[in-house]
Formats: sequence, structure tokens, C-alpha cells
Amino acid sequence: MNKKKLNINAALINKNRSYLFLILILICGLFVKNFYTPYNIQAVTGNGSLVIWLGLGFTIVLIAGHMDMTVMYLSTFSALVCLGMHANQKLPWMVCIIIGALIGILSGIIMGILVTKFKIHAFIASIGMQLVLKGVAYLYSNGAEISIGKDYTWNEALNGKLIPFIPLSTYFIITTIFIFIIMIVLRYTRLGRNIHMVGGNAETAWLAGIKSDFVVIMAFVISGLAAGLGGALNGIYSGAASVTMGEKGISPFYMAFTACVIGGTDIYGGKGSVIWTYVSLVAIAFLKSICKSTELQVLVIGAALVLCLVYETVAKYNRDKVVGRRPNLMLEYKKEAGIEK
Amino acid sequence: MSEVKKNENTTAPKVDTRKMEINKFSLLFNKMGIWIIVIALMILGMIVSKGQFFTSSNIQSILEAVALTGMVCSGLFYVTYSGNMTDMSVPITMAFGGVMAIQCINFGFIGAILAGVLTGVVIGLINGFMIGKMRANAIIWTLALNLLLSGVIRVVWQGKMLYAEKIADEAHQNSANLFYSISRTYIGGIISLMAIVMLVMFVISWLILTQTGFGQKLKIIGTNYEVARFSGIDCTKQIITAYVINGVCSSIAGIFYAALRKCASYENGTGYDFDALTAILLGGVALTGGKGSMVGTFGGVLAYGLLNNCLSWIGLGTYTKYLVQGIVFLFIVWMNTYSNRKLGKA
Amino acid sequence: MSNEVYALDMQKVSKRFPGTLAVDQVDFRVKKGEVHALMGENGAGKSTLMKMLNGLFNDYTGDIYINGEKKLLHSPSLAKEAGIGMVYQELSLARRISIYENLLVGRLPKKNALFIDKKKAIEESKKLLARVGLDYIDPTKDISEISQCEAQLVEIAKVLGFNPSIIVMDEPTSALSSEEVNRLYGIIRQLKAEGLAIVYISHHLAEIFEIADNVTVMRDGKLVGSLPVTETNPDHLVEMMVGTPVQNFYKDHETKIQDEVVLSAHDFTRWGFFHHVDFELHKGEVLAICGLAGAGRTEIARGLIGVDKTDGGTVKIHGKEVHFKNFGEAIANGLGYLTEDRKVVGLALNQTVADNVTTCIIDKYSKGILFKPSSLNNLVDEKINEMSVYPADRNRLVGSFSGGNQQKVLMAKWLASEVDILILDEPTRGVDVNAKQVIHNVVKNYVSKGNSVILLSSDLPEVVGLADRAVILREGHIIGEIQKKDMTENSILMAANGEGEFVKCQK
Repeated sequence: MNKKKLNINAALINKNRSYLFLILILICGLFVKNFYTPYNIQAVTGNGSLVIWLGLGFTIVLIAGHMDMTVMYLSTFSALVCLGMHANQKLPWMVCIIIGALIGILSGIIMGILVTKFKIHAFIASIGMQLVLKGVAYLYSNGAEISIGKDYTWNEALNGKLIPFIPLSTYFIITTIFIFIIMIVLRYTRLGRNIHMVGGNAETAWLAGIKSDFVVIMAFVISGLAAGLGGALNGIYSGAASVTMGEKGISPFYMAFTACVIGGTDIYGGKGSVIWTYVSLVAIAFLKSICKSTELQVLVIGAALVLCLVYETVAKYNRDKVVGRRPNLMLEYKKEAGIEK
Repeated sequence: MSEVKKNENTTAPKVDTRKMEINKFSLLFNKMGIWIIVIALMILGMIVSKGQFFTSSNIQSILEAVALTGMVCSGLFYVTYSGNMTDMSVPITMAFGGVMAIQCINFGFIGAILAGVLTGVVIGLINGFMIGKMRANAIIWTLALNLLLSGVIRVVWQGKMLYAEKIADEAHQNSANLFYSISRTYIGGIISLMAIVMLVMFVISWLILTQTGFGQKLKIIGTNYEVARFSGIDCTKQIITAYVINGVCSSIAGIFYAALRKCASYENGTGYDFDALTAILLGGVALTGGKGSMVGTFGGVLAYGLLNNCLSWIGLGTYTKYLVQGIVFLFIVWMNTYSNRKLGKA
Repeated sequence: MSNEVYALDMQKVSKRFPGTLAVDQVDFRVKKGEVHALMGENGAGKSTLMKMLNGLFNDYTGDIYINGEKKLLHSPSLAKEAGIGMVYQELSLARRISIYENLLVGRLPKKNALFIDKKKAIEESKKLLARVGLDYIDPTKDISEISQCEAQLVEIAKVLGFNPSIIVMDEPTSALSSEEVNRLYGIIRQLKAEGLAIVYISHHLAEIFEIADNVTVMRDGKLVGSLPVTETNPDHLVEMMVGTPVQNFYKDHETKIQDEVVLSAHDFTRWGFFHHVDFELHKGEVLAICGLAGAGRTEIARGLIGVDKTDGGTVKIHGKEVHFKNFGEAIANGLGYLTEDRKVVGLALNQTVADNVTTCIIDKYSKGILFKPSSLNNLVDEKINEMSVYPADRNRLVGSFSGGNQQKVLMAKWLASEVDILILDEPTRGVDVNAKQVIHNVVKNYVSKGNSVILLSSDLPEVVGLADRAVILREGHIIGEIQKKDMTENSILMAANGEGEFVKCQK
């Protein structure tokens, strides 16, 4: 009896491990100087927002049963174009952001078509697409950094507080709102449920008349939109963008990937939640503020990722052993072994 | 409705009327494709370089450029062949191999090389255990291991570059120099030692693939894991072996790379996962496993080197090169998927 | 009669695959309120015809009329709109997704323009489940939480949800127990009364005579004939399917059983799969393990060969106790296992015949680590000739053979391994009659050389014809044994259902 209780708790812990991860990090924060200052919290959440956008896209594509590595260079390219359009063509910020988002959508459509129509394995396709985006980004910027110029209005707006006395930047709040919109889309709309269905069993979905190609393309489009929009906003938020942005320190792609795994999104598709990813990414943002050295960050995040994967793999390995057990025979076993009272 | 429709063939003997109608193009691409591409690229190279292509210096530079990719490919082939797509921990295996070799330079030149190779063996064992025994998702696991080991290297060596001559004590300065020279030795003054090593590795790999039971078993495992398991093949052992071979090849490439750069750090090897995979797919190895040859892979490596060389002759900058490489990669993968699908249907 | 509007009227339809003309100029008509059986051997083209109907191909030729209207069925959604529902042979449900979402896949009710209406969805799925007699199931559970039989009925409920005018059932009974088969018949009769047209595909003649009104037979992608069930009999149908009169290939089987026990299992147990199983296999004997689907036959075989870890009991081979850690050790000790599903676990379809036949003897014929595939060419040729694989080309890809020849290749693989105890799991499922005969002859020949066979088969005539003795397995327990002289299809079926004189102990 006692053992059963423990098992339930283990399942509960496992399901909510993203929250536990966040709590753990926040507790660690108590021992760090200047951690719980309004300024720090505002900066940390703001700086961590880009990865949240990327993680969001990554999660949706993972739920749909695919993998998308393009998000990092896509956001970089979008940031470059957004800043470049404002600096060179003197377009208003709003238009620049929309252009950034459109770039994301376009890339999402291309990825979706490569995966659905050309039947290329998504991960492999995204490796190639990532290189294409990197090349395009280099060509656009000539390898140089593009800065925001003289117009700091939007930069200040994104950095500033939206609600007085709450130390969260406008950028982070926009990110959070977007996350909740996507969560609602995934959970309560037909498209969202279809994304789950296609990820769970693509053939069933197709046979049931769901246009699974369309659903997968939409998943990539939402992912691209998130990366494009996030990239453009991040460009304005940080005031400058360059191609090597994502290559320094720990790659945003890895952070998004780790957060998905910690959050419990099924790597085989069909199951997951953007909220879990969101919470894990906020935790990772705080983690970066706790350990200042990049080296340690990489190690800790890598260790967390490997730990979660090993746990999942071992759990699956053990689950596969007992799959197909017949319930009435198990009852008999319990009777014989005297487990049941 | 009561009439019985009698088909005139009712009494005809039952014979298998199925014919092999394989799409000619896919078959051609599968068998010969890579060598056609190699020849086409050579002709293209002759045109764009205005006859400078077959000078010894150009051939030398092509061979040097592909040597490291080739070394990785000779091992990575087995991972792809066994149905595990690709190994994303190739870069960190290369980096770790180089770092360990330089760190152990005080055990002498041979000791350093052995330490580097041993690192590859250990990484291969870890990968093999998780993927072969525990059946983890190969791509996701190797990605995660790549991150973890990168963290380990960064923390242990504080993200610094390692230089052999600084680590070596007085007595071992010779070893350090010898270590650096391996990437700069030319046999007969023409062919780089790296290219020779790559060729030797390909020959060994080819022998392993075609002459041993391991190669034959891996073929079945790559085609269908369950079939292999239910034919009494010890899949775990074979997949671990495949990953160990891959680890050894990657770490050898990493040692040469460290010697070439004259330093080792966590960054060594970045991008080689992509390069090697491109070359392998170019060589006609099926991404789904079980199909491919070492000769084709070697052709793929050559074609990849020739392509880069041609792009240089055309005068494309590094940035445009990324773009072209990406598009070529997508095209190759599409061809690979397409031709295998067509073949699979027949 | 020709003016009558058919629910389904396919005229001169053809479908070509690379390398084969799977359906060749076939006419197929189904009336409203009729159960129409579609029969034929595997590879006769019936599945292809039905896939065509379900919109899986966009390049068929010929016309399809539904209720008198010409329709183009180029995608599953078009087929759905045309009123065609297909119950698939393999379960096509997403296991980690809830039942109600599986039931209403592709047409979840909406609350407004954006959101789905979960409450309504659950209500609707309860209604659908009630129609197939599953009103006790909570539709918010995942598919993985219900049994396989229930999942099969959920699959039917799912199709009913589309309000189809034509329902195609492809071997719907393969995963059901006899009780559930009767439940299914009830549902089919009810649907028939509602005026639906039902196309029923099955290999089981008994089912056809039980439920169908008319029957159409196909062979080699061509139509052989179409006639009412009342005007035919089993022998006639088999003749139409096979093209030659039925032969009784079971009559001349003589037994040469020796007293020596080659394999014995005592108290053999894997918790949750089979408990306290005891049996002995003698030299030269064919021992059948009979039981309904899900009784644990395959699990026992997997336990014996060491693929699954077992929890207790002893297994002795030639009197020596063995504990295999993997299948390789079992083969080295002379125990082979011909797997049930040749396409998934039996044959590497993208490799050649030679590669497949040699898979289990790589270690045996290796010199150290060296192995030369070409050195085994003679052996491979000998074995595929023994099995009369057609075409006898060892360099051909196995995937390009017909089902029967694939099964022969699988059999050749185990003959080549030279084991002396062979477990055959459904050795002739889904193969044509000729291949079946060849395989049976080879099995007889095999045991006459002093080898032994454990036969796991749900094809009762095959069991009666081949087996010397049958042990009856029910829900993981051995409940009885039938000797050769008492063995009839009837006695086995009764015993497998836990009834009759041969049941010794009932748990």
C-alpha cells in the first residue's frame, strides 16, 4: 500500500517537474546577492524572453511529431531585417516587426513543405534550412552588427515596465500573453487538437480526413511566426543584432530544447504543453542569473537535459517490458505473491 | 444478380506476374549517382578554374580539405547504416579527442594519441549503451550528450584554448612539435599525411563492412531492428560497436584537427556533424539505414570537397557558401528520400 | 434490374503500382441494405480495391458511382464526404489520445468560430459508444487504457460517427474473441436493417456464410465472379479463389514420435502473461499450442527463446536446463522461432533473399570475425529451391515477392539455420493455398528427419492436419490436452473456449 502511494507521488513530481525546477532555482536564488531585486528580475525575464519564443515554436513542432532546429537563425535573421528595415528604409517600427513576423511565417511554410510534400525528415531538413538562413542572414548584414540607430522610443517601451510596481518588462509581458494565446489555441481549438492528433498518430489523422499536411505546415508556421516575431522584438529590445548573436555562449536552440524535455513534452509527439516549456525557460533564465559563468551554465543545463532524458528512457525501457500484461492475470499474481491484503 | 461472371483466366495457372518496374532514374542515382556527380564537378571545376583545377597544389588542397570530413564519415557511416540517422555528438567527440590528446602530451606522442582515441571509445560506449541497450532516440540523445560534454570541457578547462607546447614540460617539447607536425607532413612532398590516414581509415572501414559478420548484421539491423532481434542477432552489441567505431574515427579526426589548429578547445569540430552527414547522404547512404556502401561514401566525401573547391574558384564568399551548401544539402536529402521511396515501392 | 440504383457501383476500375497491376478492370456493385463479402487470397487485390474506395490513391482509372452519382475519390476526406467508412484491419487509433478525440477525429464539435465544445464532444461519443455496446466506457480515457477488443469496437464506432452509407470492414474479427464476434454480427445486422451497404472482407468462410448476402471473389487483381451466398458452398468459393479444385492435403500424415523429450517447460511463468505453464515436446513431434487470440501463445514463445525475461520455472532442452539471455543463445542451442508477422518482425523487406536467409547463421559461418556472404550462395539456393520460392532469384529484394513467397523465404531462413526445435507462429497466415501446401509439406519433412515443431496457429484445419498433440491455452494457463485421435476443429475450439471434455482444470 505504502509503495503505491509513493508511486503516485513520483508520477505527480514527474508531471510537474518544470514547476519544481523553477522552485529549485528560486530557492537557490536566496543565496545569491542582488538576486531578488526588482531590477534583476526585470532584466532576467526580459533577456530570457527570446528563448521563450523559440521554445514555444519548438514545443509546437515537437507536439506535431517533428523537430525544428531552424528557430535560432530564423530569429537572428528576423531581428537583422527588422532593424535593417528601420535603419535603411526608414519604415515605422510596427511595419518592421510585421516584416520580421512574415519572414518567420515564410520560413515556416518552406519547412512545412519540405517535411510534408518532399517527405524529408524534419530534423534533417531543418539542419539544411538552418544553414540557408545563416547564409541569408550573413548576406543581408554583411556579417556586421546592425544597431537600432537613433530612434529609442520602442526600445525604451519594450524595456520599461508595463504595469507600475511590477518588475516585469513590457517585452516579457507581451511574450507571456502570446504564450497564453498559443496555449488556448493548442488546447481548445480544432487546429490545436488536430496538431496533437497528427503528432499522436499521423496515419489515423490522415485517414480520418484531417488534412495532416496542412496541420503540420501550420505547426511549422506557428513556430516560424513565434521565432520571427520574437526575433524582431528582441532586436528592438536589445538595440542591436548580429549573426553571431546565437553562437556565443550557450545556444538558444539548446535552451529551448532542454526546456521542452524538462517540461515533459513527448519527444515522439502527441503530448506536451507550452506552459511547461514556458516555466522551464523562465527557470533557465533565472539559472543564468545565478551562475554567471557561461561554462557552468552549459554544464548545469546539459546535466539537467541528460538527467531528464535518462529518466525518460529508463522509464520507457521499463514500461515496454510490461506492456500487454493482462489485468486478470496480474490480479492472480498479486494473490499468489500475497501483495494484496 | 444471379448470373455468375466467369473470367476467362479462371483456369490459368497461378504465376507471379509482378515485374520489376523501378524508376530508371532512381536506380541510376542509387547505384552510380555519386560518381556521375564527381565527374560533373571535375568538369565544372576545369571550366571555372580555367585549367588550374588539376594542378598538384589544387588537388592537394582538395584532399586536405576533405581529409577530416572523410575521417569522420568513415565512422559515422556505421551510425547512419545501423538506422540511427546521424550522430550529433560528432563535434564534441572531435573536440574532446583533441583536448585529451593535448592534455596528455606529457605521456609522449603515442600516449597523447592513445588518450585521444580512448576518449572517442568512451563516448562511443556511452552512446552505444543508451541507444543500443536502452533504445533512446538517437538524435535527441546525441544532441543532449553534445551539450553535456561541451559543458564538461568548458568547466574543466575554464573555456580556455589548450596549447601543446605550454602543457608539455621541458622533456616533452619534442612530442608537442611532433604532434603539431602530423597535420603538416607530406608524403613524397605531395600528398598530405591526413589524406593518407583518411584513405587508410576508409579501406579499414570498407573491410569491416564487407568482410565481417558485423557488417552483415548491421545491414539487417539498419533495415529492420525487430527482424534482426528475431533472427538471433545481438543488436545491442552491434550498435555499441558501431558507435565505438564512430567515436574512434571522430576522435582521430579531432586529434588531426587540433594539430592543424595548433590548439584544442570546446569549439573544435563545430560544423563537422553537418559536413559529414552531407557527404554520407551524397554518397547514397539511406537516411533510414541498411543501404549504402563505403565506396559511395568516399565518392560523397570527394564530391563535397570538389563542390567547395568549385565554389571557391567561382569566387563565392563564405557567406554565400553557407547558402549554397544549405540548398545543395536540402536537394541531396530530397533526392535520397525520393529515390529510396521509389525503390521501396517497387 | 439494371435500372436499380446501387449504393456502390465501381466500373472497370484499375490501379497500377510500380511493378504490378494490383486491380485490373474490376466491376464491383453493392446494393443498399446488403452485406457483401469480398473474398480472395492475399494479394488478390481486395485490399487495394477497398483502399481505392477509401480515397487512398489519386491515380486509379475507371468510374465509381455512389448512390448513382459519379464521384472522384482522390483523398480520404473526399471519400468521407461521399459516405464511405472504412474499418481497418490494423487498429488506426492514436494510443495516447483520449477516446472521444479519437472517435470524433477531424470533426470535433465547435462551441463557436474558434473553440471546440468538449462537453458536446463527450456526449456525442457516449452515444456512438452505446451503438457498439460500449456504454460502460468513459470517453475521456486514453485508448491505451482499454483492451484491444474494445479498441476494435471503438474503431467501428468511429466510422459510424461519420454517418456513412457504405461501410467497409477489413477482417474486423481478427482481434476479437468469439463473444465479441457475435456482438459485432449483431451490430452489422442492425446497420443492414438501417439500409447501409456493408462490404465485408474476410478469409473465414464460416463468417461469410454466417453474415453475408452476396459474395464477390477476386484473384490476381481480376474479378472472378459475384453471386448470392445461397447459391454457393465453401468448396465452390475456395475453387473460385484458388482456381483449382480443393485438395485435401492433410490426409497422409503419419506420426513418428520418439520417446525422447527434447524440450520441456515446467512451472514456466511470466507474471501477467502466462502462469505455471507445463508441457513436454518429444522428438519428431508436432505439438500445437491452441488458444484464442490473446491467450498468451506468442508470449510463451518469446519467453522460451529468451527475448522476454521470464519470472519463474525451468526450461530444459535435451534434458539440460537453459536460461537464454537473448535469442542468439537459443539458436545456438537449436531452438528457432518463426515469427508471426513477416512484414514487421520476420523479413527485412528492403534486402535481398540471400541477406534474409542468412540472417541467423552469420555467426555460425563466420571465421573469427570474418564473414563472406557469397560463400553461402549455394546454401541459399538449396533452401529456396527446397521451399520452391518463385522466382528463385537470391538477389531479388524480398519486398518485391508476393505474400506467399515471402513466407516461403521466411521458412527457408529457418531451414538454413539448422535448428532441431522450431516454433512456428502462424506459419501460413495470409498466404495463398499453394504456398500453404508447400509450407506444410516442408514441416512434415522437417519432423520426419527427427526434428520437433511447436505450432502456434489459429488456423484450425492446419492444426488438425499437422499436429500430433495439442495443449490448450486459455488466459495464460494450460487447461487441457488433446491427442491426435480426438482432434477435430470442433473439439479444439470448444476446449479453447474453456468447455468440453478435454478441459482438465478450469481456473
